[in-house]
Amino acid sequence: MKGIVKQKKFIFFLFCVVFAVAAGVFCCIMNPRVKVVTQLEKSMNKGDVSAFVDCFSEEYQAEAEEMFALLDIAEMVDQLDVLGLGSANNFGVSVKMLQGEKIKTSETTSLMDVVMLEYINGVCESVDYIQMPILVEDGKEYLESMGE
Amino acid sequence: MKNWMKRIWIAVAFVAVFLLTGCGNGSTVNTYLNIDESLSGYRDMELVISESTFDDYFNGSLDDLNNVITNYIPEGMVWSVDTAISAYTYHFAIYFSSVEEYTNTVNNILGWESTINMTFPDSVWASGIYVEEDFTSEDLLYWLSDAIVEEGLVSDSYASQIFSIGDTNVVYTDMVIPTSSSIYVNEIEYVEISEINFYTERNELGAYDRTVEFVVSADSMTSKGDAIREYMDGVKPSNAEYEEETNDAGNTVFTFHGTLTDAAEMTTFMASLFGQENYSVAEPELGDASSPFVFSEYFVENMSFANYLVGNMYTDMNYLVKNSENGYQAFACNGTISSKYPGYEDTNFPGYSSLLSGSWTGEGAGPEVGILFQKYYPVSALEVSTSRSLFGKWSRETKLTIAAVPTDEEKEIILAKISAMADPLAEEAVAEESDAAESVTERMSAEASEEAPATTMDPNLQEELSIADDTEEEETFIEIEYADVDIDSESTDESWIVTIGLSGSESAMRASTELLLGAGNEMMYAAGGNPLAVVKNESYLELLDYGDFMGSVSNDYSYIYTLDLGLGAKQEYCDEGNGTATLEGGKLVVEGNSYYIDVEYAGTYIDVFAVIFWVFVGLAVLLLLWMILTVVIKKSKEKKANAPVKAVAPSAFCTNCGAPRNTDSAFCTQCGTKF
Repeated sequence: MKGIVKQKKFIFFLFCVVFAVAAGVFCCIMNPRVKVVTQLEKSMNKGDVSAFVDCFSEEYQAEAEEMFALLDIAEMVDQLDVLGLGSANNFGVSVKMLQGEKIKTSETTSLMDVVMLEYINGVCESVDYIQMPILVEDGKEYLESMGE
Repeated sequence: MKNWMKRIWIAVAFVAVFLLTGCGNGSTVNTYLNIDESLSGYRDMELVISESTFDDYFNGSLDDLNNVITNYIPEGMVWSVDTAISAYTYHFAIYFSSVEEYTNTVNNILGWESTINMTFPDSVWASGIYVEEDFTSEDLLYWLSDAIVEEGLVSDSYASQIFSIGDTNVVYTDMVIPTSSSIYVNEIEYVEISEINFYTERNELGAYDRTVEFVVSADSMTSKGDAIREYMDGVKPSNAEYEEETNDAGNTVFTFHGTLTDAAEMTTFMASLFGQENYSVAEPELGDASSPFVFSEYFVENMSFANYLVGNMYTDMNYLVKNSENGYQAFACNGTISSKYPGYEDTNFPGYSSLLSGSWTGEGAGPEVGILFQKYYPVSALEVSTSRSLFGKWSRETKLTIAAVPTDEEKEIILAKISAMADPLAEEAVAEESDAAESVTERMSAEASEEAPATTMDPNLQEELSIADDTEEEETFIEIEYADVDIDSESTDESWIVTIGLSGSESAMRASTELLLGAGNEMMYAAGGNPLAVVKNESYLELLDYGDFMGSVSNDYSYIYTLDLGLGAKQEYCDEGNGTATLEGGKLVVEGNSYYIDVEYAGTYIDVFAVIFWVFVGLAVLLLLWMILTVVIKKSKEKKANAPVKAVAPSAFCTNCGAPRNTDSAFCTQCGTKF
């Protein structure tokens, strides 16, 4: 072990580790992610209603459940119909939620720019620009709606 | 409702009796409207009731009738009675010191809005008397009919036979002019003015050339030519040139021309011609955004022809404008640039456009004309380059190529306007200089719901927004941040290029973009994927409406929008609006010919910091493996080196000459070879 520590390579190794950690930390700082939006994206792609509903504050959860059904069926099928592709069953439909600027509007609320990319069979077919209201309650973030 | 029915019934019966009995053998109402030159006077309504009528139809005494009159006479009316042997003559009078007072009193008695026009012009243009009313004495005495029936002095069946309409006269100075029961007297002698024309042009010196023409008919000139000339000479503005000529139609044209630099001079000129109280000019702010590349001058004129036209007399009026040779175009405008419209060509006035024309009387409000002069510097090319640094700082360079080169003075004005629009800090600094005591802190209170988008703020500016929560009274202050602004320009032989650089955070860019281009513009950036992933998703949105800002564009106008996405960018989605897009060398280029840039882009990019992370992780792993390998190899060598070696006995003979070796000596005793 003493031999390893005395080697110049070890110093270079340490140098690389330090820079890797620094670059990793910097990546995380430069690409901040709001967990609730990430959870929303995952729940929509997995079709997980409960995870989807959990993203919303209590008073909006009932509404969110209805919204999920609409998102899951109407929007996707509508898109496929528009494209003339027929039923959604044979196609892989997914969304990606890109996160933009988040602006604090009060101590507990903020507005976040979100871009929703909708993919059909891996091809991005549409882009929606949304401002999502986010509420912080007991240290946890919730959505107050799907935004506008 | 009952009263109205009764009045109508009485009025109908009144007229019927009047017609059936010739002039009504009961009582008559004669009217004398006495007026003097100061428009004061009185209206005397004389009611003569014959003794026989009184005896036949009235229940009660004369005192009873007088009591009823005393109790019921409306405010503003006075009465008296003259009792002769065979008749009782009542006088009901309304005294007034002005037409306004007379009108108010009459309105109070009638209970509805009456119209009274009264004028006694004594000028070169008109002289005589003009009186017009839309009511009769019967209307003013309806209360008496009601009262005597109400008090039982006359039965309903007889009431209609008591009063009849007599003569109506207007008495002015010594004249007694008979008229109908609803007074209309027009005894005015007019001098006809065929046309009044206004010509306006903005000249090269920035002043307005204003010409006013009065076209007077030949007949008028024949009858009152000298008086008209004397009048025109009297009203000639001090800052005007004046001439008289006869046109092809034989009419005389009096022309007044002035070069007027501002509203004050305009007022002096026009008020002299039309009277101080008959002219005003205002320079209101235009109600909507204007481009820095458009020079706008707006004023609104209100005028009345009361000094020239009396009563129903009218004249044709033409308000004409001319586009200047130095580029100023004239428009009619109603307070906003969007409401402007060019005049129409009138063949009677070659070279001029008519903004307003028609017949006008001298009564009431005269013509109101909003006139907007605008000079355009059309934009022939728009180049917009947007980029976002690795650290999230945005920058957008807008380069506008102006097809014509403005004068140096105009350039300064344009750049100052852009600076004022884009850089509130500069404006604030100017305000600070002008009023040091004034605080730069501006607090704007605004109620907003929780969903309301917050604005950003520059800490230096210390401008604050108060956003009051719907449910809580506490106020939160959010600072507005604006982008850094860099404005530059350069001239070529044929064009002038203005470059506007904005840089700052996304919020700051949004705020400054709104200042510069107005509301409704959008910009947004969003990214997604694992923070440590080398390839990440990103999306840009930019909606930039340069329409209001540019003001106008040339026929060959086009735009180029460049979005710097960086190397490794891969497009997944692009909606370039009305343009055409290409992605090459990490740059999205959209070209088109609209003033509205609308780009929605989504794709992937390579995160340099993630690459650095993985490179160092890779290097660290390699080094670690190398170090482990090195240690393993070294250990293996050391093991070999430490293995036991058998001792070899030195040779007993010299290896060179073969002579026997002496073990104690280091050299061969025969040949000297070193052992």
